[in-house]
Order: sequence, then structure tokens, then C-alpha cells
Amino acid sequence: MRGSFVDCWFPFAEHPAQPAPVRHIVYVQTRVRLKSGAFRLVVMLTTTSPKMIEAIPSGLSITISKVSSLQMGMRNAFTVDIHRLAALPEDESWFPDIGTEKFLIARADNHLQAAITKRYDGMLEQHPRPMILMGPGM
Amino acid sequence: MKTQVALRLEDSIVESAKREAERQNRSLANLVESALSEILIAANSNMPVLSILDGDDFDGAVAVDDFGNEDEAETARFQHLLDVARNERG
Repeated sequence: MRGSFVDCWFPFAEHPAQPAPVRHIVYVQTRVRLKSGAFRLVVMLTTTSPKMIEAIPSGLSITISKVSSLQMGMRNAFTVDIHRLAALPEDESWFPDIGTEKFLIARADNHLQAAITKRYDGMLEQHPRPMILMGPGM
Repeated sequence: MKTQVALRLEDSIVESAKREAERQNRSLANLVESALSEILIAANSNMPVLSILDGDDFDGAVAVDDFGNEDEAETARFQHLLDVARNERG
């Protein structure tokens, strides 16, 4: 599961608790087990939009070339947005293809996983205070 | 579920969108849909954003690997992510 690229109804920023109406490919950074025993997938948004890529703060993205993307079984170059995350239930309301053979779109190799985690660590160092948490009661 | 929408757009915009869709090997509808969604998803600041759900209680939550074993490093990262947000909100 970790290190996978999967389809997700990634929430709009203004509606963090509602699945968005458009699928986006996300990167699964980790899987979290709550005390209740339920699981959440912590995912990062990916994008192919030049404008969206331009808006990502410096050092908080990783671009996968078309060649690497094709090697992973995907079609186009894309960028992982390290700074746009969501912790979501692992069910079909958020991950439309979960439980099917279509769920796993691609898998990052160890090198790419390590590179993403390094940027993730860098983000926590760069932005220790200005993190925005979108959700109820926050 | 999809809703059909009819748009009246400047010819030049439509032509540009068609060219871009062709360049990206996508349909025009998919390009427009993606563009709209990305505008809506993008946060209005450069700050990192973490979305969580109603009722989620992350106290004591642990990150686990694909075999269900706790991953301390990932747990630390995730709790850091939550802690800084809570601290920021005072």
C-alpha cells in the first residue's frame, strides 16, 4: 500500500471532509492505525497542471519524468505535491477502485519513496508552524 | 456522478483548450474538468495543508507498514504534522 499511486476523490481544500467529484491520482505516504482500530491512508496529491505545480512552495514537490512515469505504467510526467496531504479512510467513498485490481496504478521504487520522504522531512523542518489543518474542531 | 454543463466561451479560449488537450492526449471535457478541480483544490496560500475528517481522533495513532507492524519514523512524522497544527492553533 505504502509507496503506491492510486485514484482518489481527493477533497477540495474548502471541503476537507467531503470527497471531491473528480478523481486525482495520489501518492500513499503511509497508513495510520487509529486507537479505534480504523485505518487512514495519508496521501499526497499529484498533478500534471503547470499552474498548480508552479504554486507549490520551493522544495516541496518531486517531478516524475515521462520516461520514469512510463516505466511505472503511467502515461505522463507528473508532480507529487508534498505539501497537500489528506488522511482518509481506506474505503470506496474516497478510493473508488479500492478492493479491485485497478486500485494500484503504479508503485514508486525505493529510491523515489526515499526521495519523497526526504522532501516530507524537509517540509516539516521548513514549515514547523504554518501548517494548516483543515477539518472539524480545528 | 456527472452533471452535464453547457459553457459559452470565447473561441480563442476553446481553440487553446483543444490544442492543450490534444497535446496532453486528453479529451477537452477532461481537460476542463481537471482545470476546474485543480483551481478548487489549490489552497490559497503556500502553507502545507492536511485534510482530515469529522470525528477522526488521531491521539495515539500509529503508522504501520504493509504487514501491520508499527513504523516509528512514520508515526513520528505524522504526529509532528498534527502537533504543529494544534500548536499553531493554540
